[in-house]
Amino acid sequence: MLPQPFPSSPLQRRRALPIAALALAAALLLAACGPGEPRLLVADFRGDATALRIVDPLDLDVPGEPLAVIAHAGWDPVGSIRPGGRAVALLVLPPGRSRPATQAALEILTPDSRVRIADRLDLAGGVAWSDDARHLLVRAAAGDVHRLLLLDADTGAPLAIREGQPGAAVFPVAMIDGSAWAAEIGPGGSSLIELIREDGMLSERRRVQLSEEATRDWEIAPDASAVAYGIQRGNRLSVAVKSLRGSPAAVTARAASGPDAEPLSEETALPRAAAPVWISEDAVAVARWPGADGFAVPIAAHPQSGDLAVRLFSGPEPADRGAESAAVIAADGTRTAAADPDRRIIGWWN
Amino acid sequence: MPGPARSLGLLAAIATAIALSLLASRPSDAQSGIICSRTGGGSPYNFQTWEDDRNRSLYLDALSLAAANQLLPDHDEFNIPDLKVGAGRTEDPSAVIPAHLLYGIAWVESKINQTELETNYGESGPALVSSDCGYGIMQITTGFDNDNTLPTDWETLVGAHYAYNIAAGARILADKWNDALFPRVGARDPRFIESWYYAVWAYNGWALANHPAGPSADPFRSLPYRCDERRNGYPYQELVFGCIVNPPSPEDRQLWQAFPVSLPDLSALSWSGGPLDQNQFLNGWTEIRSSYDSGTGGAFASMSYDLPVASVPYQDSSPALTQPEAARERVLGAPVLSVNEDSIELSSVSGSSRRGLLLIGNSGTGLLPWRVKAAPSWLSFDLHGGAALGSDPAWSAAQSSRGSRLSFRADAEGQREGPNRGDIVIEAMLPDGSTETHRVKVDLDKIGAAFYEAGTPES
Repeated sequence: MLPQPFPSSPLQRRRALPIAALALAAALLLAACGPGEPRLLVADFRGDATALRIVDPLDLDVPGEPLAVIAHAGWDPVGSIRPGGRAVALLVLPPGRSRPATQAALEILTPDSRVRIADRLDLAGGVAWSDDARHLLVRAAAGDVHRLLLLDADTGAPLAIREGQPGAAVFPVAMIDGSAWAAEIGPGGSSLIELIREDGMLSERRRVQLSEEATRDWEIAPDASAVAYGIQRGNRLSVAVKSLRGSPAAVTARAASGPDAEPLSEETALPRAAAPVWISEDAVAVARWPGADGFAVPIAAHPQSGDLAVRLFSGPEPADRGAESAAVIAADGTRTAAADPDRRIIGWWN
Repeated sequence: MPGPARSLGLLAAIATAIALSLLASRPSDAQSGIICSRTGGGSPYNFQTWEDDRNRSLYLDALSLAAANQLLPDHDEFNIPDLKVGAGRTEDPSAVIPAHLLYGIAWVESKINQTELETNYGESGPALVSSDCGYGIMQITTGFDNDNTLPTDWETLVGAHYAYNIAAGARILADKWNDALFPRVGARDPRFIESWYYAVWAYNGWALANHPAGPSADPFRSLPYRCDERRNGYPYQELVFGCIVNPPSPEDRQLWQAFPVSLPDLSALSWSGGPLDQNQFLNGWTEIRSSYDSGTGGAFASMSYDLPVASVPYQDSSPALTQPEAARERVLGAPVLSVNEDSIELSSVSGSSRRGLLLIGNSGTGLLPWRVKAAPSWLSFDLHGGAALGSDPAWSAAQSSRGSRLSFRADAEGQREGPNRGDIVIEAMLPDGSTETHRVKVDLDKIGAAFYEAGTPES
């Protein structure tokens, strides 16, 4: 099947980019490309459009296989790979739009199609898949009020909503075994809330206080046994892990943390430093030191190999970050980085 | 669940379904199906307007003039209020907005485009309207009432003429500066661009999403922002300040001279309890809500901080301000309304419709903003207003003397048979604040079944 018809970008008309030809080539290439070695989905930002490509994690400098070209208004698409891979939910801000908090559109991109399923969402709020790939959690923001929406992943049909609390911000985190998980930040600090679908609403079933401070970059273990998150105190970042039930399983902390691998207990905060951390099944923080210089921030661990896709920085610490590049740090510490500074990793394609 | 609670739950579910259907739609393109839910509840207006050259020459002139309140200083709706300056918030008629702030805002909002991006530079096209009904270069939403009626003169000017759109944006920014709700930077001296940090934040929305240490901001972002790079992870005010420091260069031509601006030092200001601590922002909102409930008002004073040491007072050296009268003449011109018809006759058989066309011209110079001020209910229009180009010497022959084509449709359905009469009133808004109207008489002669079938009345 050829890519779905899609509104052409105004800037495409001005620049006469051969988008259609590129999309056709992408479809043909990808039709011949089945599951196999792990691949990464990356985004190459250019002035008016971002090219999405599938690349070899062992050689991030090759252009890779084109998947789609997304015309934009200056904001890169924000993506989340579907569980099982080979599809991505993208929040995009098309040309002619300027408010990422209210004007983002949600699209599902596969090797065969690109379909817009919902609109008027918050680009910065991100998008989270359910573990069975049937639902999506997104955020819609209107001024000071935020809503969490549960959508049908095939049609975009809204299934349930949670109205935000006045003065609080709510962010989608995950959906596991029918429960939606969201982070809420308000005057009382940060909480993780578990929500269940009930009469078109997302009703709160459980609330776990994460910190009296604002938190960010929440990542839940696949069995919802633990949550890793960043705590930002002013300009200082640290990572914490909290057990949600029983023994926590493996979870990737998506913030920069310390190079000293130390066992983590509940609510342990690691000092800010310069290495990515992958929280292993026995709740040990496994730091992957990227090299003599620089530091790295995890994006996602490969579900089988545990290889970490990261943002790699050449500077000594976040306050002096230096140049950024997309990189992969393997379990044995081997590092592969992209030379193109405008290349960004969205996640593991398969 | 008990009965009443269950009923409430069902009602909530129905209300939710309605809200969800508004939130998640399937647009066939970027603009179709837009509902202006927060500004009137109807569809956005259709305005036709004109796009400047790719260097945005006139737009930049208009931005400089508006910042200095020299664009429309005598127009009550489009001039800049006196800025409140200093700790005592004293109104200072001589204080102005740094023009670079407006450059940066205009770029971040629309890449400085007044029309939809399909329109070629130097040509006319539909006004740029975003999916949340922001109009034009400055993406104005405040003041619009998209209620599916005919637009007001203010709405037409902002949607159809770049200069008024820019003036409206400058005025909103000045109002944010003057609003006592927002915190202070330094001695509240508007000559320093850094002093406008909170006003620029508020221009986009005084929300956590724009907090520099908030969860939407990338803690590893590169500062200052470079104006042609990806915007993800930057608070709005950092995008604007970044575009001042690192101006955009479309087609490899830098649009304006860079000006140095310092960003607040987060490591020094965002400690727990500090002015840029997130909790200060969140707690501030809580206090302000309660103070408004109790009628005492409130402000975010605890978020105030001192100016960075490296701050440089702003001085506008743009050519527009060396000869402001000439620049104003270039921007506003001297438009004169002309309409090709005084009366139009239409005939329609029952149930069908007839189309008509009016040519609205500008025999003067500059852009002539016009609107449909009044019309019979049985007429519908493809445009609500527009801007007719005059014969400016600086414009090419292809651009000059290009008027607007106002197409309309007379719907005979529901009208009585025989003659139906009404007037289309076209109003033009002139730079001195006056208006000029042209009335076109429309006769719709409905010839229906009764006319044909009645035959000779029986006696």
